[in-house]
This record gives sequence, C-alpha cells and structure tokens, in this order.
Amino acid sequence: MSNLLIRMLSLVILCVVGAHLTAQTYTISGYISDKSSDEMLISANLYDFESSSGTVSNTYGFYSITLPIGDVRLRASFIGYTDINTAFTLSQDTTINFPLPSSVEIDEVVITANKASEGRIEERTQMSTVEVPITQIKKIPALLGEVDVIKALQLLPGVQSGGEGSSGLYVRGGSPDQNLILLDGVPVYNANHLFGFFSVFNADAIKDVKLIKGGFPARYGGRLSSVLEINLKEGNQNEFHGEGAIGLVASKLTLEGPISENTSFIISGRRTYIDLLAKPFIQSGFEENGQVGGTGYYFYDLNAKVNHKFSDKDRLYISTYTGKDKFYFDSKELNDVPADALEFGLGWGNLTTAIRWNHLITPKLFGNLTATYSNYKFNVLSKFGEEYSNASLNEEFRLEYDSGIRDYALKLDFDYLPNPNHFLRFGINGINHKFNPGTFDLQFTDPDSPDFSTTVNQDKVEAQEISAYLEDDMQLFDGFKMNAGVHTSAFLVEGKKYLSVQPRLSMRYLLNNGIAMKGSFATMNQYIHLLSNEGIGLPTDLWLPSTAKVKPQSSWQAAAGLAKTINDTYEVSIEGYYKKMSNLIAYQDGSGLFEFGDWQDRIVTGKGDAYGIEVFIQKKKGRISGWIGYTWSQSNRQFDELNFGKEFPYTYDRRHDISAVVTYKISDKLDFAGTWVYGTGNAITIGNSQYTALYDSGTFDNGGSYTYYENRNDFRMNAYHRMDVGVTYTRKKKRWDSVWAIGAYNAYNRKNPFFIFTDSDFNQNTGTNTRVLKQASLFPIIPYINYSFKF
Amino acid sequence: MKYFSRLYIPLMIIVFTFSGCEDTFETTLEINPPKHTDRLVVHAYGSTNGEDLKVHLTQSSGLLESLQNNLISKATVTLWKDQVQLAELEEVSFGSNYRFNYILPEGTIVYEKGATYRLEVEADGFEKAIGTATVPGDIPLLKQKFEEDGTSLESGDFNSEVEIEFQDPANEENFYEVGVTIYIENNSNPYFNEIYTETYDPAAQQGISYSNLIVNDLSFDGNIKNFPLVIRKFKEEEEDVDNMFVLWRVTSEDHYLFNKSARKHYDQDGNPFASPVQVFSNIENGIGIFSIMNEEYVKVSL
Repeated sequence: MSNLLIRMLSLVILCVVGAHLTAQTYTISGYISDKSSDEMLISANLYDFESSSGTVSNTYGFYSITLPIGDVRLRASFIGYTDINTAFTLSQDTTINFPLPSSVEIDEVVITANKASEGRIEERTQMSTVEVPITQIKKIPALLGEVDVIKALQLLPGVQSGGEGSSGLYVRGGSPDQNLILLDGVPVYNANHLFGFFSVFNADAIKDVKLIKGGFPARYGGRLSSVLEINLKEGNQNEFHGEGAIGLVASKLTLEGPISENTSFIISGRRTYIDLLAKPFIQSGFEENGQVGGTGYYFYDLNAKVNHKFSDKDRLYISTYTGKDKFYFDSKELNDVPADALEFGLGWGNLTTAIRWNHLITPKLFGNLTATYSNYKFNVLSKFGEEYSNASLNEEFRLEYDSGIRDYALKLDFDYLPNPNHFLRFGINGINHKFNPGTFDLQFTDPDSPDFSTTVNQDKVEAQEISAYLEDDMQLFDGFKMNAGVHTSAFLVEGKKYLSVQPRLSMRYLLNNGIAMKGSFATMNQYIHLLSNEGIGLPTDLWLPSTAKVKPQSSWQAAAGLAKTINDTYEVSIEGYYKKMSNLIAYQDGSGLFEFGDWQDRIVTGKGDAYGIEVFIQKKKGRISGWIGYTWSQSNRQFDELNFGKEFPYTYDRRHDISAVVTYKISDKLDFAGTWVYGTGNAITIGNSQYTALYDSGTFDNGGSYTYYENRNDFRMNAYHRMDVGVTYTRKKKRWDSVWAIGAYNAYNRKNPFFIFTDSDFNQNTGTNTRVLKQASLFPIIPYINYSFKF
Repeated sequence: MKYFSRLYIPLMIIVFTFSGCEDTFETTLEINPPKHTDRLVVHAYGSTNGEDLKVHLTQSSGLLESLQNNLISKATVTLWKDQVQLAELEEVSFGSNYRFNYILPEGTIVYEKGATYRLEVEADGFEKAIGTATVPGDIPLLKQKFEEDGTSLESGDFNSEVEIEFQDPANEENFYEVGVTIYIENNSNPYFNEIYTETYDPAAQQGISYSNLIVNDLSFDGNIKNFPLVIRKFKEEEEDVDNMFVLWRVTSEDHYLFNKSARKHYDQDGNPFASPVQVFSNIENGIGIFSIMNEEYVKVSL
C-alpha cells in the first residue's frame, strides 16, 4: 500500500512540474457569485475558448485557472443564471470576479450530476453523484406540503427510503449510519424529525445539495455508503429579504440581509404548532375523564449564519444549527386521593456549529480552516406515582435514559490549481468523539422505605479520529479524465489504534459518438456504528464507536457506467455497482434497546454485499420536464451468529425501485408537478409456523408455543407505491411574491405497509374468533395546502 | 380578503367530502400469512444415565392456527447407529405430568461414548424427519462442595452454594449443563427434585430450565474450571442436604445452542424492542432437537 502511495504521489508531482515547464503561464482567479445576493456559486463553470480548457468553482465560489500568455475568451456560467463573457490579453496574474445575474426562473425539474464544463453529464469525471438544485426540490409535491431535501433525494435511483414516512437514506444497500451527512461541513447524526417523517433540513436556508453514492473523492471519509453535502446560504450581501410559509404541520420564516458592507446574515426557523392548537381540546378531553394532563408533539429547528469578508483574500463564516423533537404525555387524576400520576417524554435533538476561515494564499492556492462542534442527544423519561395532598406521603418511580454523541473537530483543506489539467485537493482533519452509549437513571421514593437512587452507565467512550487526504482531478489526454487520490485515517480508542489507507479512483473516457464510459473504485472505512432495531428510523437507534472489541466497518465499491446527452434535451445514464462491506454490527437474537449490561456483549458482527444497476433518464427542457429512475438491486447480510450463519436479505433489500417525476408549466403562474414511486416490499422476520417445545424434564413446556423462524427476513411486505400531485399558483407583486400550493400525498389512496401485526377478528355468524395477519398503513390520501411568501 | 373568500367554498367542500369517507381512511388491511408447510416437531432426549430415550412428537401449525390436538400418533420412530437399526420406540399415552409420547424403555440401549446415533421419524402426510446426535465423552467433576453460607447478599443474609470444579479438555469445543437437585426418596416413585440454580460466573448462563445452567468452554478451554452454583439458603443440619446431588451433563453443541436459543426466545416474548429469536433445530425436514447427554448425578460433599 505504501508503494502505491509513493507511485501515485510521484505521478502527480511529475504531471504538475511537467506542465509548469512547457509554457509561460499566468493565473486568473476570483469568485463566481449571484449578482443580486452575492451568494457564492458552488461548481460554477469557467471556460476558456482559446485554450479549450475550463475549471469549476469550489465550495466557497473560488475558481482559479492558469493559462498561457496571450488572448483569452472566458465564459462564466451556472445553471439558472445568465452567462458572462469576457475577452482580454493575459499578461500577468489577474483577479476577475463574475457576479452572474439570475436568468428567468427555471421551472423544469433538473437534476445535474456536477455542473462542470458545458454542464453535460458525459463531461463529468465524477460518477455516482447528483446535485439537486434547491429551487427544484421546492417544486416536488410533499407530505403535508412540507418540502424535504431527503425526500427529494429518495426519488433518485440507488437511493431508497426505509418505508412509509421514513426520511432515512438507504444508499446502494447501505444502512442510514453509512451516510456522511454534512451541514456546512459539520456531521449531523440524526437527521430526522417526527420519527423520521421529515428531515431536519429547512429548504429555505439551503443553497446547495450534493449526494455522492460511489466513486468517493479522497477528501471524504468516515462512512461507507454515501456523502450528503448540504451547504447553507450565506445571506444576501446587498439587500434585506425574507421568505416564509404557513403549512398544515409547521410554519417557517427566513430572514437574510447585510449587517454592514462586508457582513451578511441569514436566520431561518421552523416549528410545528399542532400541539399548541390542540392543547385546549386535549385538556378538555382529560378533564371530561376526571383527569388533568396533556399530550403532544412538536419539533423546531433553527439555522443561523454570519458571513464576513475581511478582504479579497480572507472570509469568515460562522454557522449554527439547532433542532429538537419532543413527544410528551402526562396525566393525573383530579378527584382521587391518592391521585395516580403518569408522565412520559421522548426527545432528541442536534446542535452543530462551524467556524470557517477562507484564505487565498496565492492565486493558485486556496485554503480553508474549519472548527466544528456537533452534539446529538436522545432522552426518554418515564415517571409514575401516587400524589397525596400532603406531599411528604408521595410515592414516585422515575426512570430516565440518555444517550448521545458529541464531536469537536478541526479541519485544514487546500485547493491547488497549478494548470487547467489539474485540480489538487489535500488536507488534514482531526475529530475528538465522545460517545454516551446509554445511561439509566433510576429513582424510587416511598414514605415507608428509604429512597432508592441508582445510575447504570454504559461506559462513556472517548476516541480520536485523524485523517489526511490527497486527490487530483486531472485531464490526462483529450477525452480522458481521472480523479485519483488516497484517504488515510487513524482511530484511537481505549488504547487501541486502527489505521487505514483507502485508495480512490474514478475515470471518464469520452467515445467518439459522445457516449462517456465511466468507472470508479473506492475503499472506505467507518469508525462509528449505528445499532438499530431496524425499525422506522426511531431515535432509539444508538450511535456507538469502534472499540478494542468492535472493529471498524469497511467496504470497497466498484462501479461502471455509460452516460450521454441526446439532442441537448435528454440525459441518459446507466450505472452498475458492486459493494462489499465487513464488520457490520447487529443486535444478537433476542437483544434490543433498554437492556442492562455492556452493549458490546449484545451485538454480533458480520458482513454484507450489495449490487445493482441504475438507469436514469432525464428531460431537461420544455414545458414538460422530469425524470424516470429505475434500480434493480440486491443486498444481503451474513452473521455467523444470526440465522445460523446463513446469508439473508437485508431488511431494505429492494429488488425493484422506480421513481418518476414530472413537472408541467401550465402558464406563467400555474405549475403542475407529480411523482410516482414504486418499491419492492421490505424484508422482515415474522415467522412461518408455531409449535410446542418441550424440555427434557417433560413437565415444563416453556410457556407453550414457540414461533418458528425458518430464515431471517424471509417475509416480504407488500410492494410500496404512491402518487403525489400538486399545483402551485404564483403571484408576483411589486414588493412580494406569494405562492399557493395545493395537492395530495398518496393521491390514489394506496394502503402502503407500515408494520405487520396479528389480530383477532370476531366472526358474528360462527361466534368465534379467528386470528388474522394484518398490515397497518400510515398515510391514506392526504391533501395539503400551503401558503408561502417572499419579499 | 377576496382570495380567502374564493378559497373558502372549495375548502369547505373538501373538508365535508373527506369527513364522509371513513373507509377511505381505514389504515389496516388483512394480508396473507406466510406459506406454511406442516412439519414434524421432534424433541428427543437420551442420556448415558440409563434413562429412557424419550420423544415428544407433534406437528407444527400455521402462524395463525390453533396449536391444540397436534400430537402425532401411529408414527414410526426408530433409532439407528451407522446403518443398523437398533430399536423402534413405543408409543405411549402420557399422564398430565409426563408429556413424551414415544419412548425407548430404560436400559434398552447402552450409548457408546463418541458414537453417533440417528433418530428417524416417519408419519403419514409428513416428510421423514431425521435427527443426529453424538454422545459426548466423559469429563468428570473433580469437586462438588456444599457451602451453607457460600454467597453473601446485600441484605446481610447468605445463600448457599455448591462449588464445582472440572478439567476441560484442550483444543476441542465442550459444552456442559449443570444444576443442583435433591433426591426425594420418601416416595413410592423417588425422583430428583430440581432446585433453582444461578451463578455470577460469566462463562455460564441460564438454560431453558430455570434449575440448570449451560456452559461453553470458550473462556477456559483446556483449563481447570471452578465456579459456584448458587442456590437458596439450606441449613445443613435441618434440611435434606444429605440428599443433595449435582446434575452434571456433558452435552453436544446442538444441545447447548437449542437450550440457549430457547431461553432467549422465551425471555424476549412480547418485547417489541427485541429482535426475533430463531430457536436452534437439528432435525432435518422438521423442527426440534435430538440430543444424547453424558449425564450423571453426583452427590455433593459437605
């Protein structure tokens, strides 16, 4: 592995030095931004027609291109914006910024896989990557009218939802913990609101969304299956603006604007209010039953960011996200003495903060230093007791459970563009993790006996993760591009050291007929595990570290595909992949959450694989636009201690997955959008038969019947399919715009499976009870109406 | 304001329309249960202690069916070694306490240590079920000492314990089952009465019977193993400690896995957070367990 690393480094250095020696060159650099708001544009194109070479802007809108002395003809372009062209004679290092004006709003739903060069899919080196414009996410019909980033990504091939309502991402047979979700560079550990029905990402605060499913560039690491990079807006540098929405579930408001000539801000908040509206009715209901109490659920999230430009070379960003979900129930009898009192609460939330400093070191070298903090917590409280008028007689039993994960991190990243044929990235990152795998706090008070209080801890674990990377995005010769790199990492925990060297490679070769052949190979390591009951993304899933006993997960993935743009209108791609994973963890048979004892003794380790083919056809232009994605895939798991060592289907093994999205611009004010999704049912374990077991004493029948599970996950729930439709009516006024959105989720009322249970049905004719198997569904047809405004 | 009035009527229509559609919002649906094939369920136990080979033979039911009246009668149950049939078991009708319905009377077979036996079960309408069991070799107890106040409790009281010790053979997987019993002899039909037994040693865990512990040698392979069997307080001079025995079994891996998984299945029953438990089975074309244990009752020393 070290020889490979040395050879790769040597090749990179030779290419760079060689390029320098051939001709006198100068560097043009600067920023590409939105003219009206000064928001930096990520992956905007800059192309020189004289040298037929180009580059793209980085995450901070910075670009750099080194060209030979002489005439240059530059065009800066970005989807949704008007191009800027400029021509001049290059005779020295030059700084040019391109503030692009917004063009007429694009109404078709357009998914682009990178925006390099002329924006065509066959031009991009990177495969298995999609970027979803946020303006398009907002047009897709959504559950209860709540636009959701994750739900939009689930409409893409190779990306699945866990089930009805779930906002978990299952990418190419991987589990939700295998997705590196970055919000302005900070990892988010539980991206679910409302038990997984919505994600924590407020679309109004987001600038850019990128999902990488394979062929991971070396700058990313720490997760096996995907990287979801979400960047927040910086705030309008020039004018004060706001937008908001009033919906059936939640309302939100976003404000942005300049603080000073060089400083801008954005703040965006969202909260549900069903609990507040229903409170009086619920209280009244309790009183009618002789009780006082309440129940409800709420969530909120808040994004805030400040951006300050010290000079053309230095910028500082400070961003923060906080969000919380809370479900509560409490009741107390009004007239009884003693009064039975019950309280139950379930809550979870994230807090993330990032401070980033950009510095332009030279026109070719851009640096970024980031310090981040991330904290995820989950809490369950259960309390019941008897209350007397004399409080000293009260009895109470209280059980509280906490778990969570906290990270501090420091990252240093560099972008180096020595010439148009190379874009080097390198950097180093250090994270301090602190895991709380679970703490039980038990208290019992009784006037007749001594108070009892105890805390049972899973040992908190502190670990350090250090990584470094080097990658080069290069054009080797005409038609052939390659991104090659290496990601190295170390994880130190409980006196144990894990080391990893992960080569990464992706390539694109353009055939004469305009078809691009692409291939990639990547190895990944993951030092964090999510121990899941494989339910619906409940916060009861536990984040746990690799330890001296539990090794890190690892994977390798190979992918190959073809891509082509047809008639400048249709983008077609077909991609096949194979992924192998090892050191996956799962609960032992019979184990689950809320058990005492070391979690490491309740798990088993095993391996998995996933393979499939993804087809994606997108129409980009015209009044009618949209896409169809189809995935055929298979995903399996094998644990020596589960299913008697036999391989079994992963719960989210989905043989067929189809997504279709269409938008139709009826008029300047009226738009229609529809989606249809289909997926093979989840694989679950419910048993095939039942029988009576008997132990050797002959007299003890072990409680009667046993359920026979021939194989794990051998029962398929019914297929899932659903159509959503929506119409938006936009009115543009002098000072503000308004949009009414009306539609229906699950328009043809499909009863999609949520979970399976056994029940007894009473037959009135025979007077007997019959046991039946039933499927519970969650969402019938749900109409929605949503009003949003922008000023 | 005029926009609200334009919307008001359509909104009211939508609300009244959906409020009349209760069936539209029905959220449960009956579905077909998993396909079920009737299988023979065989729980067969033999021991080197001269006891009967006893078989409980039933059939499985579908997930939603009743388990009543599922005993199998008129089946042919035979015991084989190599290709030679050794015996055919008799069908018996059992009383309320003894539930095995096919037995090979005590003393019919002397099991050879290390030999492999095959149990074949044939019944009309079922595929032939076959179970295989290898008789474990002898691993004697070296010590089984009773201590009246062996284990101290937080309350200041004591539980009794029987400390056992044995030499585990090296470089092979060995499995054990152990418990404490009292021999009841003031009875026309003397028997061993099992006592609830537990331990704090991590190498052992509760088996499907509350009175027995199951052990595997993963943590002490090839070493002398010593650990206490903790029982309720027995007063040596007042209680029948003179008739206290250790039930000592050397068992097969199949027996251990069945015991462990059956215990887990029983414990997790009804827990929505627990993952389902597959109970181990070594019956080909069927469900259940066939096990021959190397068993002895060893009198405790005082």
